[in-house]
Amino acid sequence: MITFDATSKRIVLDSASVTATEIYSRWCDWAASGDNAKHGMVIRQVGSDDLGAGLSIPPYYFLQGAWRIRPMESNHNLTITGNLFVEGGGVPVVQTLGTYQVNVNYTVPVQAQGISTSGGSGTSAAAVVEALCTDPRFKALLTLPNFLALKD
Amino acid sequence: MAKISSKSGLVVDTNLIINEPAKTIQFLATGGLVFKDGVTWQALYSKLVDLWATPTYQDSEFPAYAIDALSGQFQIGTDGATFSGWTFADQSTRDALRDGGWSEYNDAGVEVAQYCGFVGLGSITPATTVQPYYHIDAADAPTNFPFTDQFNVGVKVKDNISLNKKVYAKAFVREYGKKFKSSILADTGSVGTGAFKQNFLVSNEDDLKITNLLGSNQVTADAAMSGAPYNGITVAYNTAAVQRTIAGVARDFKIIIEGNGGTLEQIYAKVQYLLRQATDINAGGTAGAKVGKIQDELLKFVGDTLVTSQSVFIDDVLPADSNRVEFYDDTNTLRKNNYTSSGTLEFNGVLVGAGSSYRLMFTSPTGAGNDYGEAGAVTVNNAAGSPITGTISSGSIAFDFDWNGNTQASYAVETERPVTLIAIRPGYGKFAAGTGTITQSKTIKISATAEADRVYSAA
Repeated sequence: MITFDATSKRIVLDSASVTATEIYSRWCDWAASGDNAKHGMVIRQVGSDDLGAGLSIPPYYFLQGAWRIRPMESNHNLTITGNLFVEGGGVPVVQTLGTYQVNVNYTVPVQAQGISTSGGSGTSAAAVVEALCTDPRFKALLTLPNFLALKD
Repeated sequence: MAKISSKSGLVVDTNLIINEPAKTIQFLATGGLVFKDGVTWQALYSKLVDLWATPTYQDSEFPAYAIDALSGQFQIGTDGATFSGWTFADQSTRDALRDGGWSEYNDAGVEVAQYCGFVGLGSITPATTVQPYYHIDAADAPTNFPFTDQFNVGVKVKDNISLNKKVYAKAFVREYGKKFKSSILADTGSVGTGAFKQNFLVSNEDDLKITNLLGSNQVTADAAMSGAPYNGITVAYNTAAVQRTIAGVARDFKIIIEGNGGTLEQIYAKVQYLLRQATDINAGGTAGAKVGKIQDELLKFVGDTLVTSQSVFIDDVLPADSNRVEFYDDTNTLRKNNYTSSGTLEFNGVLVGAGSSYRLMFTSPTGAGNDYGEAGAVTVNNAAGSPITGTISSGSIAFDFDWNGNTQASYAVETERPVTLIAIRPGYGKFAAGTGTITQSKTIKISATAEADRVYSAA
């Protein structure tokens, strides 16, 4: 369970894999509980605006003030998925309290659009790939040199 | 027609009947005499003098005696030296006499009756229908004056049998849609009534607080009194004082009005209605039966502020009205509630509903670590001392604040407070913060507007 230490302004993880959306959502729950809202905004979220046809702008998350993420207390590889940043710049993750080696792997989307793959009315991922492959603009860009460059 | 104030307006055997054998004087409503308008005592006396200057009447004793016309002191049945037994033929004749009081003597020299000339000063309306009334003992039932409109008429205050009520008199005018007025002897420096003219300061004017609320039709207005909230607005008269707390201090009151959550205008309207009733209006008080229309006025508006009479308190006043009502306690000392600032917290639609939360905090009070956003941030208390926080159940949530008493976060009382309102509804509305200032006002608005939350995951 993700916990929030308001005194040290730390978001404390308890797993090796977490999404920015998950961190944000648990903070929403925490802020709505008791008098936690007195600590103000911890994570600002922008994006996710609906573009239609199952597409949306990817969400971005910005840690506010001195709030940072602290990994769980163990040696591990931490994977954080999503566009998580510090407002105004900085490193989102701080060291554990104990002496542990934590390798942080940030996994962020490369597209400027999110794809809705859930529900019955959204466009499937396969359909999006199909659409991209048949789009003349995409095909024009996907030359052999470009493909090889991407592969490298 | 008009009041006959000259002897020339009286014509024997037309509107004035002098019956020498019966020794009676009688007015008839003819020849320019209208009973409601009447005849002044001075005109009658002067007419009698003229008549007795002729041989026709000189065989009879002179009927009346004038002690002083200005103060309205007259006598009948005596010429000031001897007693003849002359009197008035009927009560209608007595009721037609104006600007004087009188004693009536029988031929044995016994004062059989004493009438005080009650004269109302000032204009009372509505013309032709306003019905003033009086009583001459605080325990007496009210008696209507014999005519509508302003009164100027003799009222019997003493006889030679059992009546002797000369130390108290009170005149009233209480009409729907008009401000109430009553007057006692002390209003003109008098200490008693008698066979003279006694003035009462009785006038009225439109009561817009009533007519703006209930309209000009008394029938429909009175009918409304049986519905909410009027049917729950009552008055309790107590013999012993009961205590009510005002601005944190217990004060004594004997008359308690149950406001039933009505506005001050509604409370006032019901109380004025009760004070027009000829029935007992004491609801649950210990002071016994209290006939409404002879009780003292309890409330009056001064501008938009409702002010009680001495020892009158109002329970269950709306919070929004708490600072436009003032009370005179049992010692007749003015007491006012602490000022309760109030207003609304406004939220946009995505914040309203289950799972939401709002909280109002001081933005940056004096001291370290207690600003909004810090661990020691202070939630603002409402007037009752409870934190202003909760679920966002609607787009507008009322709040109040003890302006004179709140010292949270080391603030001095009666100082403006910058505050921050936060709101969130996970999955629907993002965390939102709005700022405002708590002032000495009843119309404070602080808003928090959130974007729709499109990324929240409950899992």
